[in-house]
Amino acid sequence: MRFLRGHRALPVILLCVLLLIPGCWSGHELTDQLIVLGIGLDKVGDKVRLTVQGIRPEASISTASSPTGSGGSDQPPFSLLSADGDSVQEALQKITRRVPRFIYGGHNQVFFIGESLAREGIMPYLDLFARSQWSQESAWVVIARDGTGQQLLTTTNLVAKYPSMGLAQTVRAHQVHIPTLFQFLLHYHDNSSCQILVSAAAAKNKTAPSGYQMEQLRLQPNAIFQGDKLVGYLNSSDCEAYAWLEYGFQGTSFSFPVSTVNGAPALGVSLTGAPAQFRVFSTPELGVRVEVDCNFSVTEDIPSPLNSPAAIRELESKLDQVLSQRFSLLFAHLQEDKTDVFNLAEKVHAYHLALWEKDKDRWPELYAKLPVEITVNSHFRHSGVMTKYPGFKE
Amino acid sequence: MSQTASSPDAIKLSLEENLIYLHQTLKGCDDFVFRPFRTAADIPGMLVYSALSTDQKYLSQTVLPALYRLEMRPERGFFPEAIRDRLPFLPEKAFTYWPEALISLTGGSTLILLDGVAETFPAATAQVEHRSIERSETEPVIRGPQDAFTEALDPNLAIIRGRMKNPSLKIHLIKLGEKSHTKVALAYLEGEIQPALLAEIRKRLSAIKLPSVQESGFLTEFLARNTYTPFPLVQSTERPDKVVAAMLEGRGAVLVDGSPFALLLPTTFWHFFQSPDDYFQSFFVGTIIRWIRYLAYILAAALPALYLAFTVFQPDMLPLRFLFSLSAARENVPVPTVVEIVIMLIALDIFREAALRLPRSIGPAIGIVGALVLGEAAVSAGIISPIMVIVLALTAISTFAIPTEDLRSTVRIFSYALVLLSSVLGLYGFLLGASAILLHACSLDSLGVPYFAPVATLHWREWQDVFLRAPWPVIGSKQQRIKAQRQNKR
Repeated sequence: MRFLRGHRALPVILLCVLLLIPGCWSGHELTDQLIVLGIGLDKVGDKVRLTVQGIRPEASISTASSPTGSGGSDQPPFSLLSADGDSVQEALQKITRRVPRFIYGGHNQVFFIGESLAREGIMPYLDLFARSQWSQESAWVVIARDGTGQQLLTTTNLVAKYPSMGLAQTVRAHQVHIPTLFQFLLHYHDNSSCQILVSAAAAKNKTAPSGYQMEQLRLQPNAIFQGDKLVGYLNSSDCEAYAWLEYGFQGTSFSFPVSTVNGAPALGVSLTGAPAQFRVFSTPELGVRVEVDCNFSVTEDIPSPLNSPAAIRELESKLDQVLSQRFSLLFAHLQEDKTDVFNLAEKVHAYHLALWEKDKDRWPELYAKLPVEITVNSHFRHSGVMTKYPGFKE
Repeated sequence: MSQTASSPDAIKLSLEENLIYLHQTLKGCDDFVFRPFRTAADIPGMLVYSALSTDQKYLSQTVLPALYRLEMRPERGFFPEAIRDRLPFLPEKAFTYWPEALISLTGGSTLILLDGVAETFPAATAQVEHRSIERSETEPVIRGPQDAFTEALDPNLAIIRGRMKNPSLKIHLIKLGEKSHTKVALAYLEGEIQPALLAEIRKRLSAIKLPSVQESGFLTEFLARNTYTPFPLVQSTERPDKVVAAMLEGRGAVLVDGSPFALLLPTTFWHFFQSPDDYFQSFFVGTIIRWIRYLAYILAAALPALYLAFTVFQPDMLPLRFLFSLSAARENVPVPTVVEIVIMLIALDIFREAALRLPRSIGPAIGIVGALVLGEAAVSAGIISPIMVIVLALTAISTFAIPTEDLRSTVRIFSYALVLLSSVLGLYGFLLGASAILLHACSLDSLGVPYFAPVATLHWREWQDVFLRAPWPVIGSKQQRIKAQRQNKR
């Protein structure tokens, strides 16, 4: 480059190079793009069926400008495009050829994965999206329980026009945790290679009066994954316990019987607390201690006045006992299935390297027999404005 | 000039010869009056003056009677001094050569010619009608002095003197314009301005070669030297309080006869964001308003380009719900976004220009037609998306929030350049353009003071008058960047 040194044209040349090298020439007008909100992946025969949900801007226009604003048109506000192919790429190409727009996936919110595909292994199909130029790693991975991803994409109700948008609102409003593609990939490489994904099922709200039974997505963190394969589901009680341990209590309401008498009213409490701590110890033998620390406040019905420290301590120990029972039950089931969803393997690897090196090949068996100590430490924190419940006679 | 008594431009002893010269030179100038008279000693003389710019009452009541009573006879070498003693209204200096006498004559003086005297005496009879002092139109403030400069130089200098009663306020008068002979004043505070800076301003002023100087704007490009930049390197103002403040800061002011705008130099970029209001209000308010102006400047330059880059190239950076509204709004627009933006930007500038040129009474009408009727119609016809109207309106309003016209006009150039870059390269192009503008601005200097000082030069103590408007007790004792010997001379 000596011939360029001190040359007056050098800055100009460099500037031109800067203009030309980046290849950022791929601007597309918004009107030329199909904005994808959700993607459904299903197995049909030996082919993969890709379903793409794109928004229809005209639909949003008509609802925006119509005086009623109810969006009373017969057509759904989105378009569904679907194609089968040997690979996702092939199916995507088929779709692209059929629509007069560019498929724009930068805002894809969710992958709905059909159960049959999930049981077979989802990694090969998500690979394309993980590599894509659009950063789709923040899109959620949701398993369609007993159904197909396509079905979940069509659920509409008045509250959420687009199922994926509805999902986003739910997540934001209720602090529901749905693992994203990024998180899935992260846990896929864990030592235990087990994780729990969220499953969804479209269901009508049966308790509402007829005519008001909106179709809703019921989200539950219960799909157990071993590697990239769905191996089973947690039952609903375990699923709750799992969420508490993994994500902590967030104003969780919980009721439990205070007296042992059958038919006695249950006490409602609201729990707050951080995720559980898992401590792996090796003396006298390998085991794990699960420490749960939580605060609670009473929300409903205090059958006996909480006016003495002893009464409060009694209530606390009762709650500790009920919660640890729930957690023990969860661990019993998990150990039975040899699914290390809390990734205890990682802890053993990190803190007890020698043990891990010796036994890592037979970890699932070891895990199944791992002694689990559960300590729940709950604290009564907020008494509310009254120490006695209103129904309690002076 | 090396003129001798034999030069054709020298004033002769004989009145007749002088009159022939004058008649020849002023041929075709019908406004000049030749008024003959005889002194008490019976010496013939002639008053020459312009009927347009002369106080004729003063002439007939003071000058002429005095001349009639003059009883001396011309004696070589002694006569002119003696006359000056008798005629108290005459200035110290008499002319012996025509060119300078003619400049004085055209400037409104009356020339007194006497037979047998090879000199001409100018009587200061100039009386030119000029506008009285009015409110500032281009830099209005809510609170603070409202007076603005007028076209006449002397009253302007008088206002400055009145605001700075101090002999260290120096006013240096020169004449510029080879044909127009315009009076130009350089005002500064001795002790505040750096001598080197003063010498540089003087040097640049004296180097100016222009046939005529009608407005101080003529001089800016000579004073700034670096002509090839859209950034204004010399600040202009019509507010006397700004001039006085600038002089206290160690800057010089150049005033031109015939122009109500004074030039302040050296100038940094940040000077354009200071409004007198800032200093008259609570410093919290002053600081916040200053920040809003910076924001307005950035918005005015960048908003259309950013809109383009985000919607066409990087929609993934927009929130989904925003993207929804955008795509819905743009759905029926037949032209690409860049065309839409450029059309709207040009339309905006046309409206601006139209509103400016129209008589003041119908100026607001164009705003109504432009903004309301045309904008509304374009949106409902589906040619332009409503979001675009919002973006452009915000850009226009941001432009108006920039306090100085000098900067306001340059920001539009940047907004076009950034839109074009963004239309090709998206956000990358925008950042490239923005960096280029920033680099260019940092490379500039105004009379040796870096244009982005003190921010780019990291003299952070002085940031208190850039990013803040520090309270008066603090700001009063601060070290001024232009006073201090900190300029990097190239």
